[in-house]
Amino acid sequence: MNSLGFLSPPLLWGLTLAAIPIIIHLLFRRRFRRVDWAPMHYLKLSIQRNRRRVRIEQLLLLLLRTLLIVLLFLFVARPVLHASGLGKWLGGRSRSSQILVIDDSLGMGYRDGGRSAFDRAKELAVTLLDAIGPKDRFTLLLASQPRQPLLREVELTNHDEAVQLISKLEPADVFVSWEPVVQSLDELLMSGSYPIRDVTLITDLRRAGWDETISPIGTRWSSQQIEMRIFDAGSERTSNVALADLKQVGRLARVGGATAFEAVLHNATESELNGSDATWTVDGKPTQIHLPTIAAGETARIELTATFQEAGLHRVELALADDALLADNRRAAVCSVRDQVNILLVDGEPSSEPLSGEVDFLHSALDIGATDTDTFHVQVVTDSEWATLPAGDSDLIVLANIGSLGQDQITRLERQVAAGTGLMIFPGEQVDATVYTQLLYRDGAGLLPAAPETVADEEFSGLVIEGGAPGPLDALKQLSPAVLERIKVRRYLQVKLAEKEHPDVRVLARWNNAESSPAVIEKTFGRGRVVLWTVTADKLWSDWPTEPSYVLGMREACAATVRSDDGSRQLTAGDALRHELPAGEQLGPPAPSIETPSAEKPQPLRVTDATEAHSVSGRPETPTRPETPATAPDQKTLVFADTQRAGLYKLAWNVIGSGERTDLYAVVPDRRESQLARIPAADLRGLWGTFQPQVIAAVSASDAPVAPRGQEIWRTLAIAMLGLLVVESCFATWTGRQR
Amino acid sequence: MANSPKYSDPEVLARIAGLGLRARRVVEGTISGLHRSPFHGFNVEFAEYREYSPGDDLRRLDWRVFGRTDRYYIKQFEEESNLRCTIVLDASASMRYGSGPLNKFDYAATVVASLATLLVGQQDPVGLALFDNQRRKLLPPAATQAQLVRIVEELENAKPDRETQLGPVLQTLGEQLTKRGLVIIVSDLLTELDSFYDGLSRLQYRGHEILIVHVLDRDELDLPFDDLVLFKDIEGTEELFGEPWVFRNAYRAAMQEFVDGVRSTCGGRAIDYLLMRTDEEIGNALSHYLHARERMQPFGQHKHGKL
Repeated sequence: MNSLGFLSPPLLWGLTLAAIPIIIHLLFRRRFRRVDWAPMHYLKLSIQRNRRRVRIEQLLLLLLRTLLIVLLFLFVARPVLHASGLGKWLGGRSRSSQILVIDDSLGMGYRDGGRSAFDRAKELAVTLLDAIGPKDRFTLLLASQPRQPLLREVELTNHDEAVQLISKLEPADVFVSWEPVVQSLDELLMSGSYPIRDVTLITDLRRAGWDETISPIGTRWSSQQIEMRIFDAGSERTSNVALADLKQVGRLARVGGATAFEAVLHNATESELNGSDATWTVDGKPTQIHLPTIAAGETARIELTATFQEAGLHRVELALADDALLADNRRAAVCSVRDQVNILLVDGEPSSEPLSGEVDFLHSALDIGATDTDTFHVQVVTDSEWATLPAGDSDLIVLANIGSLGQDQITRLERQVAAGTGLMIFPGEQVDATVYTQLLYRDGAGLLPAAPETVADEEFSGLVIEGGAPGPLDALKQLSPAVLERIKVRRYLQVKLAEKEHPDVRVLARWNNAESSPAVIEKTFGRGRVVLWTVTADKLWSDWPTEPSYVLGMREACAATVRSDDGSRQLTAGDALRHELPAGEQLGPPAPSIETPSAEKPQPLRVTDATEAHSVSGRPETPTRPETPATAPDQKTLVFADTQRAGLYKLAWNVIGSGERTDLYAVVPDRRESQLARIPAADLRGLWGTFQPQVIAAVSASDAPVAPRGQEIWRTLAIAMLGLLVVESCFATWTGRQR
Repeated sequence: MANSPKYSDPEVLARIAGLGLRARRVVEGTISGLHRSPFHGFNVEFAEYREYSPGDDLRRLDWRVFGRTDRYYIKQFEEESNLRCTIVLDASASMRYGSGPLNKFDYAATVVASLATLLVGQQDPVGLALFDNQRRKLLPPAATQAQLVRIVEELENAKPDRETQLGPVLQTLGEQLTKRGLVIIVSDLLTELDSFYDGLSRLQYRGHEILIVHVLDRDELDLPFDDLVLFKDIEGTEELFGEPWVFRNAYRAAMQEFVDGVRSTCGGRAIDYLLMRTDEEIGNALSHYLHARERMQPFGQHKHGKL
């Protein structure tokens, strides 16, 4: 690749002009000669007569040449004149590529003095438009959508249109990471029309989003004709109370049962938050709740409950009292309430005798309780029946002492779990640890959270529930320790955990033996959960099934492992919304649509097939986890990329033969935008490598640094120089004529 | 011999080593066609008496014969061809300049030798005065071949040097030339002109007829240089560095003014003036002048009387 290029190659013909001085030199080459002269008197007389005139001409020539030198250095120094003054006249024809980037992240909504940073940014942007000449190419970019410029390389013949466009802008609820913005800027700059390229960025100088990943691009810019100004439209204040999270506790919400939610509040003010109220809204019905006292700088977790009387999707919302940053005071969540949970028990060693089958105790434990009978719908099949059973809508599959598993079964199982189905695995005498390790563990990539090794014969008593984050066995913590200490174990499956701790794998409980061997291990696989038990589901290896705690433990473990929509219907603002339809489902008219918080009318949804389902976001793609479910070839996905606003998004589509379907998603603001710590100008400049952008603190548009930077007048200077050169040459020829 | 430019062309003459031979070439090649001398002497010889008739010049009456015979007789004279001519040649340093094959001094010397040859050939006495800022050499007029040889010898041996001071030299010469005659001044006249004119006045006062042969090089009239030039005063130490094209027209005008001034002054004083450029053919220039002078003089007439 050539490292040298020319923006205007035709001008290279001008290099031939370099021959002109040489030709002139050769034509007018004069030698010095010495002459012994007789009529010196008349020579002096003629020189004396010419002297005054020659002196004036020489003075004029000197002035012309001095002016040429001055213009040359002015030309090299690239002077810029105020666009509204002389510069508009002199530099009106200079051309440059102007890019204006406005930070529209959530933090720009922070209000100080009655106006938000975004209001000031818009005001600054409108002021800066005046500096852009009619021949300049103007690009307007929002930081939340760096790959979709609002205006690209347009000539601003009518500033009013751009002013109107800017005045209608509103801050989004997204987090802005500056590295992809700078990357997009780089692409825009490289494709700019003119060699003079100026970037103006208006932001609030919050540290979140800035890191050193922009350094390589900045270093490259430093060697190019790129100038950048960063205007600080933000406030020095960082005081803020944020609702950092709102989520359902537990994977299962039952009809008529109390569903728990947890809200996370962060008090980033300098004073204690005391006596404040919030509004808890369940399906549109608001309730005032009193918040606990939260010390300055502290984070508090608040438990909220809601009871739903109908199955289906329900919405809840928590709204804090208004503060400087409104956008992070409100969060919504969608709760999928179930009236029935389908549990499939696969019995590897069935028996016709009561409580002799592999899953009989487990089945009994799940069936206990009149009120819950309708919730857990249990189906028991043998392993051979399961092999021929079509992939149904089981919410939880329990494999107990399954000796053989085909590759097709494993693939189907992985797909189901990745899509959200829960999986519990119990060992047994028929289980071949080697086969399980090879097929189900697969060096950590498979379903199993740990590699089965051997079955150990060791008698001991006691089960210890691990602490830490909430887990499926948390209900057992509420029991007296003596209850769990009574559990007697005779055999157990020894497992080997991965040497490197995996974020999706955790030990939920350990046996009370010398090695503290893992008793229950959990792994998150895609959207589903896998729980591996190290004793059998019957009483062959332990007498736990005969203990009352077994019933509680199994019911809570199943409830915590079943398919859940928890989290899958909550998106962070800016992330593309993707709703996968069941395989084979055919869409019918009308076209799928979506109701959004920002648009009055439903917006069309994009329908993609499996191959393009993950490449439609307006933002740079975040890496997908390897456990992301593989979509079937005939599977459709409904996609909506414009999720800049937080709130509820309701999808509607029609399925041939089934009629209208709807779904509900909650888009929440990015919690990183609630971190309002500012980045000092020096630190910000340091992130750009050798490139040194100008960081300008501009509180209002009337400040001098905000004023239009003006126009370059190099073109005018070049014309003036050319004219002066011609005048100088003509005048020099005239003065040097024969006289 | 018919007029043949090749014998008086400066380039051809320059190839002829001897000045005497060079002069003969000029005279024989171009000037020998004259029917009679263009110069006339002042001395007259008595021829006869004749009776006065009305209209005759009363100054020619012989009052002695009238006293003796009481009759009016007019004296008639025969013209004397021996003209006393002194050629004054400028041998100052300024005469060294020359852009062609002959510098001004060589050219002037050739002119002088040619005139001397012509005059001696007509039996007219001719003398030579060489000068720079003072008279260097003076050969009294004589009409012999030996005189011509001496003149040529002096011219060949002369080296132009020192500065021109023509006025005082002419003053001195006027005192030394006791007999009236023709004084031919050959010079570039790059001297102090007022003093020069005073010298001319002195010579005229003594009754001398004067011919000025003004010798200049083409460069001195045209300043044709296209290079940067350092002009060094040929008779002094002054130097001037200049671009000739810048003041060429002004210089030409100044030189033209100089030549016109001298010509005009000479015309006003009844002094013959002949401008010769060193690239001109000497024979042609002299011939043209001498023939013109011949035509100006009526046959047998002399300004001082009938010859």
